[in-house]
Amino acid sequence: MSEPSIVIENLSKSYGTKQALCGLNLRIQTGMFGLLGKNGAGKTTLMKTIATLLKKQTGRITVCGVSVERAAEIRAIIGYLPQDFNMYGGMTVRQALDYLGVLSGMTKRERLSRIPVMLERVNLESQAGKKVKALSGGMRQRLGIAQALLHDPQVLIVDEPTAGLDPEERVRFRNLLCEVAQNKTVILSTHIVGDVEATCQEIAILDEGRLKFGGTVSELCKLAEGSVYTADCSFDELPMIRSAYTVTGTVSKGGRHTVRFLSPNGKPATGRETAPTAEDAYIYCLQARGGANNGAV
Amino acid sequence: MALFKLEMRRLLFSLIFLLTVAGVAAFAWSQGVIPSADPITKPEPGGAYGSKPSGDPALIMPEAAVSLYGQYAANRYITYPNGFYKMVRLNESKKAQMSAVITELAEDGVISAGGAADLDGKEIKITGGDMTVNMDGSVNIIMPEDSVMSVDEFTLKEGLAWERFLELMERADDILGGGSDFSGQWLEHRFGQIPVTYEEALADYELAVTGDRLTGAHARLFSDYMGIIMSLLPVFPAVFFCLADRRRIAPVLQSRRVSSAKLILTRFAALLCGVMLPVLVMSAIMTAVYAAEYGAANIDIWAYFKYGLFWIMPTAITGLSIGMFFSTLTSTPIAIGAQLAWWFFDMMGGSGMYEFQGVTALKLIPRHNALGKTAVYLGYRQDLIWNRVWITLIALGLAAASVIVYSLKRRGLLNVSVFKMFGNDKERPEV
Repeated sequence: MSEPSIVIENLSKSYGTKQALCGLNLRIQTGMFGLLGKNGAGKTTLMKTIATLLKKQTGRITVCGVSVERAAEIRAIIGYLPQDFNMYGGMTVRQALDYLGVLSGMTKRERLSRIPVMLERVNLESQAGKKVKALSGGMRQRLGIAQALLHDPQVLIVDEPTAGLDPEERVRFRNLLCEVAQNKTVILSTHIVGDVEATCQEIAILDEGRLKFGGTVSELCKLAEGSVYTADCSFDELPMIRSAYTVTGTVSKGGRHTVRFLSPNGKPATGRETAPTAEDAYIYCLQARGGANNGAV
Repeated sequence: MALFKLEMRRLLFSLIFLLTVAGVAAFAWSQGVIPSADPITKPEPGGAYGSKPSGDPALIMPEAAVSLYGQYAANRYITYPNGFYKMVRLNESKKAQMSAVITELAEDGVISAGGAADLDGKEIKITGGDMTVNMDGSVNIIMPEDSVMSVDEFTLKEGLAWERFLELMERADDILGGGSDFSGQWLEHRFGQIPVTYEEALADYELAVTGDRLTGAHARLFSDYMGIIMSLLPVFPAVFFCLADRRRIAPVLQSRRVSSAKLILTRFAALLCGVMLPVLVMSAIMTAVYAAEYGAANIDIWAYFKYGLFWIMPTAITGLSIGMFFSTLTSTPIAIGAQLAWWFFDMMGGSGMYEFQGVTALKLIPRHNALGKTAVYLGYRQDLIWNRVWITLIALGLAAASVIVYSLKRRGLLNVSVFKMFGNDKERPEV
């Protein structure tokens, strides 16, 4: 295995009494890396800490061998797409990229050559003269990814990029990230399991600032094997199943319901075992007692 | 330079900048600064040339004492605390204190109205007042509040020392709550004025022609007016410029390679050029107007620009730096309040129309509300230079502090939010 692009060792960070990250260890290789977790799990804190926007309290982070304390150097090699990306509404798409290119220290020649390439890559060429405030949510996210890639960073950090996008935009966005990840490290933070399942080789699950799981999607699914069941039931039986188990999905057809649920403590009274999906496994992982895995990925 | 151009473009096409320019231009127009003030003309013998403070105790003391007595008699005192008109009426206790001051000012300690001795054996008719007879036969007369007594007979005590007179005037001002004509700041300006002589007017004219080369005098008056507006308006584009970065844009900018110093100082420079632009344009217009009026050879064509940079720019820098510093620190428009407060107290606690009173350190808006008065200007120029240097240093210090604050916030080391206490903290970190 090649040298990891990002190394995180014993990372902790708190806001007052709230512990956002707690003794986190991660090794992230080139390619797509998915960061899963509920809202408030510490994903954004981790992303911002790697992007030098937050100061860690303890531990060590290196990006491509450079410590995050050397902020100026880190900023030159990372691209960051924050949650709810936005830019000055009065600027056009091209002006916004030009402005951010200047802030990234790009020369005029570099900007002139890179901006059209990025616009083409994110399919915004025809919108280059459009004001940012007139862009749709999907277009704005594509502008976000264009600005993050503009200076050709080695590491791309994207925080919840598909939230609020329609399914078509989401698929397009995921494909774009996969293309980028051919020769870069892309950290994708999300709470949408489908995004990670479709794009990431390696994933990590955070819960209350702690690493719950680190590994591949198939390893995650393997954890939940033997604990996922489906059962057909009537409407009247639904509340009983919901109170006894964690239901991960319900499909209704006519008066009958097919329920998908977790039973981590052995075979349930009803239902048949089924192969876990990534979403089942994710929920299983978050709910499993003592399931924390603070080992390095 | 590329960043400066982009920041300039961002500023020049913003609504707040257009409103600022419109505000500056409208103010200049309303004050008669543009299109042009009256030209400076050579005084003719036999005319009136205005007045000036004499500073002569022999003139000041009787005028001031009579004025105080007149207001005392009517129990109506005009004051301007913090620059705003206020009519003061004293209660019985304060009246007694003021009476003691008046008694010490009056000849033989007697306050007379119409000459008490002349009233012997005559009928006194009092209307609207009240009279009570005491057990010993004496009477108390309570005058109606709106009665005005004659001040013709008031005579200042002979031989009253100037120093003691000043103490009494300060005492009177204290009783009135400050801001009266009798305070040390105003006493010598309000009383004892004497006419300007033809010779003095001629000397002032010649100094304006030779020393100021005419446009210098015009530029000073221009700076006087523009200082008022340029001490107030620049804070607005600075605040709006900084607040445009609030939470959703800030992380995109902060994660880039540019240094905090380069970003903040380039923005500062762009804002400064932007807000000085209308001043420089008006300066060019006025120079052209006076070149046509007096002849280009007779004027200093750089006077407006020199005064603009030396007199107005430090004031503008201060507004900008306050705007940038407080906006960067708190991510709120609180800087507008801070600048308004400084502007208000500077204007209202001002030093008079054209005499620079040596408030050297924090005087934001130096005034010279006169066309000419070159000798007066030369008298305070050294103080003014120090004031401008000091104000500029304060402004640059705030700009440097803005860089430090931005740098700390950029790394998540500083989070100041006045909204925290209201539970509406837009800068609260997301977990």
